[in-house]
Amino acid sequence: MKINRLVLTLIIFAIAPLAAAEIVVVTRVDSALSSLNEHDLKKLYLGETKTINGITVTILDRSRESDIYQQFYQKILNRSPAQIRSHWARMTFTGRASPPKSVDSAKSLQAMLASGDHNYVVYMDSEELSENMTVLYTLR
Amino acid sequence: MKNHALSVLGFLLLSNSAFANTNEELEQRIQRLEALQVTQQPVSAVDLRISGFVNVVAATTDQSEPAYYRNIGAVRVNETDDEIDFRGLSNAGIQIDAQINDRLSATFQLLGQGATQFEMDYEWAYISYQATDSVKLRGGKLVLPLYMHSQYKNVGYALPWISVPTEVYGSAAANTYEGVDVTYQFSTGNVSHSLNAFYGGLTVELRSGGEVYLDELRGVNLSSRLGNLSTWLSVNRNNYTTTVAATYGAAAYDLDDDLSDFYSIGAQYDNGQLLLMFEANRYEVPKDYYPDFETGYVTAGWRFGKYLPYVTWATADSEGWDDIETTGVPFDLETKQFLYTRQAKVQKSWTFGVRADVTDNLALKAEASRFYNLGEASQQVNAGPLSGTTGSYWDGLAANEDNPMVFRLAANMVF
Repeated sequence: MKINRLVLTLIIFAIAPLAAAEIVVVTRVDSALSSLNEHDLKKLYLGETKTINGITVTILDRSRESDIYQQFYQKILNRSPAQIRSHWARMTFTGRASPPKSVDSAKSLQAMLASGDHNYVVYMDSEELSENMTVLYTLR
Repeated sequence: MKNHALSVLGFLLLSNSAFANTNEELEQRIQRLEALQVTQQPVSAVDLRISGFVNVVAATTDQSEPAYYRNIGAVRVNETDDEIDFRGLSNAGIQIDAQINDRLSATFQLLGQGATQFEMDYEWAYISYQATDSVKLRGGKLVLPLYMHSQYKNVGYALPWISVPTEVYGSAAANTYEGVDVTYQFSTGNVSHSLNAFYGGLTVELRSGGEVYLDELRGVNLSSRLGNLSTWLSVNRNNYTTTVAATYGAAAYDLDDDLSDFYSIGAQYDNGQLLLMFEANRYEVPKDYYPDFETGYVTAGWRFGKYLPYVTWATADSEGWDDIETTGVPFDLETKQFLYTRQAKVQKSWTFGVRADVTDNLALKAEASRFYNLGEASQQVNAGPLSGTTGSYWDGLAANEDNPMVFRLAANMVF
């Protein structure tokens, strides 16, 4: 019995870091946008669209130096930061779209989402979630 | 301005603090105001975005004559005896996007090229109007969207190669035009598209003297993406009018309101590791003394972490020599053949290269290219001042004479 409990504890400790590393895509809690599929998420972060189901959204990015930036683009688009930079150079100099603005701190993000100004969409660590956000997509 | 904003902020904080019941609530309010500071503090009345690129390229060849650099993407401007050329492909550009309001913006791009002593000139200057979320209208001086990579062909960082393949991109008479375009972004199922149509005109100054006026320049192009696969299609037509002076020993001649057509298809597959690209183009002028062009390339690369080794094969071919009519209308056969050889280009090349992403805004590249099948010796005019052979983009070598090598190193930066 004791051994089982120890094993269970070990398993929980082993899983915990994985669970913490989950990346979620969020918007403000009262947004008309309630979910996103993988295809729409890719289109938004490649600058190919600004509307989802007729709702105009403004995507935000995280700091290029951050771990979450690297993880997000690797998981959703299988691209390195250099490849993402190259993609946005093409979009910018084609005049098709400008890259999203970067916001570093989770607190600023929370406040921007709470302000209700735009339909901001941003990705964050699930630990950075707060009650005034709706999770649109979870990367696993 | 900033002091004023801060005092307003202070006032808001003070006036609201009396109603804040808990520290938590107060903290939230501060964060909200901080966010307003972040998002709403204007730099000026319009929102300006500045982006740019710098390319430094060194090139050398195993050929001894410096003039042979011309047109292979490593132009020896001064034709000095330097062994290494730093100017031919080096360039720098800066782009300013001014968002005037939600729908209206203005874009300027200044480009300075080493080949023209880095004299800065407007490459782009246009006003853009976002009519709906998916429709954008532009007017001004715009990039001619003939090829898959036309719009960012100067931005080395956005390309795997040091420069776009000469055999394909070297055949365009101009890079920009004056006119209008409309772009519609839409989706069909999981495929996202960008459909663009343009109308305008341009003037090309010929190296050999004279000008060509291209008007009623119009085209439609479609770029689509399904997952890792992107495709490109473009169909273009123009009327051209030109008077070429009697500089070749031939009589001056007029081309008035003739049509020419340009077709392009291309695709890119990039799954993050494997990179495959190709383009194939055809340029048709319905005149017997004017060659039709067929150009294309294939590139394959594989990413090992920060390194992308790649190989490219490129080709340019001209056809129509055998179709030149002997009727003497509007010129005699020798003049027609001469005009054909002046325009026609025949060339192929292999390029091996590697790109290294040093940081997320700096790439270093090295390339070795071997050019072959230069010109077409059998297409020759022998008559006096008109004598000449169908050539290649590698000027200076007699047709099919040699297989020159070119070695290049580049640093590409983007900001």
